[in-house]
Amino acid sequence: MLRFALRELTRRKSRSLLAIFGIVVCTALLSSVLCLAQAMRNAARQPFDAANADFVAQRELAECPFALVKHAGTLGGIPTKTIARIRSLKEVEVAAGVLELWAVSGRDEKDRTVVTGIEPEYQKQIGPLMQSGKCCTLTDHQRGGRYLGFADTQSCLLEKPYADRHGLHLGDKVSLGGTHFRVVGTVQASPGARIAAGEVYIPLKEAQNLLGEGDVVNAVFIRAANPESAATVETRLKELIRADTRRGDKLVITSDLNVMSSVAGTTILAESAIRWVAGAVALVVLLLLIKFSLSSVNERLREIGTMKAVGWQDRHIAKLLALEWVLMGAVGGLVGTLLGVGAAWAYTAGTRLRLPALLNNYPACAKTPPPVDLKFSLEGSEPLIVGAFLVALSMGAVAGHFAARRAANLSPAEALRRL
Amino acid sequence: MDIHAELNQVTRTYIKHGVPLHALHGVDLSIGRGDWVLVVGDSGSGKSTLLNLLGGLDRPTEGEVRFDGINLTSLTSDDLARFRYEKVGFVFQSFSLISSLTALENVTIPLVPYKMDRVAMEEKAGAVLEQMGMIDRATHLPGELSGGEQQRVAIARSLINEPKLLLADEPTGELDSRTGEKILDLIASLHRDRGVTTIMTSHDPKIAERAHTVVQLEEGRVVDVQQ
Repeated sequence: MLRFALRELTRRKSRSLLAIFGIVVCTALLSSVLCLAQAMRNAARQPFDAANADFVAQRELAECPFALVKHAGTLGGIPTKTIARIRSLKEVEVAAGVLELWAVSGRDEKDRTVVTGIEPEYQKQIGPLMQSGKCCTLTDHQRGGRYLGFADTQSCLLEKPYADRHGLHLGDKVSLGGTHFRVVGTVQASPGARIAAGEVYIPLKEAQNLLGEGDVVNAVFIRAANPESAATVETRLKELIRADTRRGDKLVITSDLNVMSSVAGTTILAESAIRWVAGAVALVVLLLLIKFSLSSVNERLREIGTMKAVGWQDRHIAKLLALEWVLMGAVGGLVGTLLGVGAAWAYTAGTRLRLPALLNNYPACAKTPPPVDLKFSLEGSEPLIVGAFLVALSMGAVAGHFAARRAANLSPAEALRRL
Repeated sequence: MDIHAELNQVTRTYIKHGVPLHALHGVDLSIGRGDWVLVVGDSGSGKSTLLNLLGGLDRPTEGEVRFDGINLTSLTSDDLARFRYEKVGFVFQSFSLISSLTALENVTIPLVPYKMDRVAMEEKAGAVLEQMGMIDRATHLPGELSGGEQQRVAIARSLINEPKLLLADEPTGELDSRTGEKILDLIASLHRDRGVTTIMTSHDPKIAERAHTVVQLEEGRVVDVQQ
């Protein structure tokens, strides 16, 4: 019967190709939209996964005064005691504060270095030194390089590009806002986007001393105890961190859900629109396929009547027609899925999105490249691709069902008489 | 007479645009085993309807159709299909071959849904085609065959299940007279050699010379039966 179905499809080439083309367009659109959406989710999730965090809470200032050592970008201070309150929430698994600074540095104090003050006790659990949920790699471990110790003072860790650019090694001194810090290790972190990444990492206390604003941080990394409690945590954060809205300050809570909208708002809008268009196209194509399948039965009355006359039962005819349409669905689905995934891959390979400036505060004059590129990947798209293929197969099956039902209900004498 | 097929008070009415149309009206007919019956009559006299009822392609509006004592009107759609597969061979005026299939594949069509082994199926079809003198055209598509050759393939298809009843609806209607004669000779030899009960319809009065029985239909009624 499969041979008969294939022969029939090749005999009515133009009709088959038109039906397959419809399925291809629909599946390609569907699979590309689904893959793009997945790639965007992956990109948005990547910096949070790297930091092992679900949220980052920051206070953004309306004004940003100049100083030798200042908050990075437009960030404002959040009291350290707030972090303790956040940690005490039962919905929170872990939280850690960082203080991102811009400090003048170098021999003539002309360079501006991005400094991140970290809590040494949390550096291997959450924050900018993490890499895909694990702590990043020390490049000079075998030569005595180490992470920041709890009791370290005036010690620092360097990002490898910064160390290479300035020719700094273990034991060398780095001048930050007039204070010298001894290099205890060099880290080679992920090249992708990282939140609150700095060029130099120092203990939080030292950063607070440099800034001179007391016990403050300007970004808090938070990991919820479980995915269900994320919404509660976000609500509680708004109660715990107060921003002076009269001055134009605001509290910014960023998660993977809203990071993409802040860097690619129009893309999100377009994705949503395309998703609707894909759904509408799928519906229209399905209706066309059903119409096609019914008219193909009318075109084949002679054949169907003859088959019934020579002993084919209604279910045999139904099986043949259903098989033909499922085959078209399978071919269209396969080609469409490949095209859709290919298009999504090509689009994401050539597209660059950057982490919002608030999450990575490298200044324009920074001498090392900021880790801000959000990586698109189609990882995790497999179920969506299979889903798009199954949609195509279902479309073929639905169209085949209508054709099969129509053909099965035909009386053989009626079919032969209407020739 | 050993009755093979019979129609008892058979009426077949179609409703067309809300108007009832009696294709057959109170027809009584008995056909003996091994008979060659020719049904003649004008267009619209009910010849094809009669054949469809005898072959289980259609059901009467009233009355009953019996084959070997079995009342076909009481059979389900699937049982009727099985009956056609096992007992009846159809030959149509327009050949009704599937254009994408070769002559050999066309002959195998009745066997396809019944899951016969492909090699066995093709061997059987080849044997029937050989009897029809068409084995050298087995791999040809219908479009590559003449009208007479196509009708031979259609006859081969109707014989592949070794039917007890051969129903031929104007089998020479689309052929020139010489080719039509050859097809009639072929059907005659099949009837003679296999003892198949053969019922044919035709406009051609010359065919009447070959038949055992000639049934004359007029406006859905049997007006004359000549032995």
